[in-house]
Amino acid sequence: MDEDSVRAALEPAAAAPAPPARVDIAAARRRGRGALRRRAGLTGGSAVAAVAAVAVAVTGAGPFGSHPGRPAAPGRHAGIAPPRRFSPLTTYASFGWLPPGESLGGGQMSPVMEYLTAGPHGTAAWSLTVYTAGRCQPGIRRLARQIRRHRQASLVCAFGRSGGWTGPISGFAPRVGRSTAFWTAQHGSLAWQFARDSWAVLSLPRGRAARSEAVAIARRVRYGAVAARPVEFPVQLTGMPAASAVGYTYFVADAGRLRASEYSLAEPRPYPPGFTTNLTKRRDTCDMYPDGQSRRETINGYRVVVDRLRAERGNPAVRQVCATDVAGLFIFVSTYGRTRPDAVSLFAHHLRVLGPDPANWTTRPLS
Amino acid sequence: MHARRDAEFTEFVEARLTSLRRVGYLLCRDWDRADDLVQAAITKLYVHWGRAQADGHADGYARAILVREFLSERRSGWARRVVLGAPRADRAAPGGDHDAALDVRTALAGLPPRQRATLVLRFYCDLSVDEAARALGCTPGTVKSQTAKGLQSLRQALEPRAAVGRAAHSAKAAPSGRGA
Repeated sequence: MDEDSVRAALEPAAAAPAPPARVDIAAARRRGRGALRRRAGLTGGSAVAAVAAVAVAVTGAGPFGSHPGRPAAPGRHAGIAPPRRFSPLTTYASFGWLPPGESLGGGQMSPVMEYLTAGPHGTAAWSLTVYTAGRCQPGIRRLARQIRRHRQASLVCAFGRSGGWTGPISGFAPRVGRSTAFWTAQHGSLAWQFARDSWAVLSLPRGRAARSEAVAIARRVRYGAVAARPVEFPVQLTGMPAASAVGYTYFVADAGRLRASEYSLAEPRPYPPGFTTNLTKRRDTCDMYPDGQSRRETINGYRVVVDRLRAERGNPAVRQVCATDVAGLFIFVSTYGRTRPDAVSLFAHHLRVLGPDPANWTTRPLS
Repeated sequence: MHARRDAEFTEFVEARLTSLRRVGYLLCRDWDRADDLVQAAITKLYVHWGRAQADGHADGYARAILVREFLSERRSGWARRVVLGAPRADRAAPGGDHDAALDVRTALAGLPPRQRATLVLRFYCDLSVDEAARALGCTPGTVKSQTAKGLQSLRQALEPRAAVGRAAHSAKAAPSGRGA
């Protein structure tokens, strides 16, 4: 039996008539979102991060002066202080240039990485991930050495206990600033160091020959104080313990502002409370879980669904409050285990709704 | 952003669901377990959706997660778990070479999980050695050796029957008592 006959045999073998699928895509989204929240919580820690500590200088990237494919002396970077922590409330990096018609879509910020997306109409064609110092291995010198010796090399970046990114390096890219840069084979990404031990990775849009654009974008990425923009929150938590802090934030670019769409508190680990705050859309719905785990209630005059999900398979019990229209906002609050205040209490007693009007938003989500 | 993320994710999974289920079925030869595998895989895919989509390899991500899920579940004793509810019987395939398909499925099921996953990725999903290595999280050399071993085992499992088939065919084609 050769390879062709195995190919020919597997096709009908897989073609057994399939019963109706039991796969629940909505459940996958829901659980996936919960995992994202938990993961962000695990990577979190105290969010009293200081963007100010992360320096100052803009990249001195000489935009288009380098020779494609010719590596610079490895290990040299643009003189930016290596970032130790990012703030989940203020951006650390920003796109200084995007192709015509493309714009920032949104992003995620946690103490160890920042993730920005951009594309036509704010879609996620490009994604830029910036890591704090020491998150990626190996160092740039070793990577360059491995490639020159025609060895397989990969850049591996970790952003939490369970998360990470691996980019098999396919070769040298044009320099970005003063840093040697690399293309990754599998993912079509451009990776470079913007400060000592600090990597940035720009993923290219699929189906587009966009390498020259990628280099142009990478060279104009801004870091530190010049890239700092605050995220604005359409709700505020009041009366929280003094040590409370935000763990991570997702945001969307909304009418020239960065609006927080989802965020968590930093504590308690490993399952901090999570919040989703979007502008109400007509299609918004709340899940109703079986066996009486979900109940419709009215809290502060708002119609909500309260979920009390039992602990299972080693995961803690979950308490959630979902409301599709709280003065124009879709709000979802979740807490895990015995966290106090729980989701119902947070929603009822601590959540100050600022509404969909940007004029009322705040950059201080905790007061 | 979440609405868009959710919509894109849903569209992708709906489009690939049949294909993912079939890969799952080839791996574990049971539709219930295949659905469990796909459910677990797409949940993880959602977690990594931003990157999977941005990298333009959502298909590859989904397949890799599915296969790794299969392998890790096997390691963690997943096979001992019970399926709640009435088990579903596989219906007979209408027409086609049903016996042959059954043979291949049976022979495939007899392979160690890693060899099975390697063959499915290489010859059903049509991945190159390097792509299969990335999906399995191993080296290309391991994929090559697993492929060779898997093919050898398949041959051993299937060729006695094929040989019998060929012998029977030959017997019909060639008149006995030749020269008589």
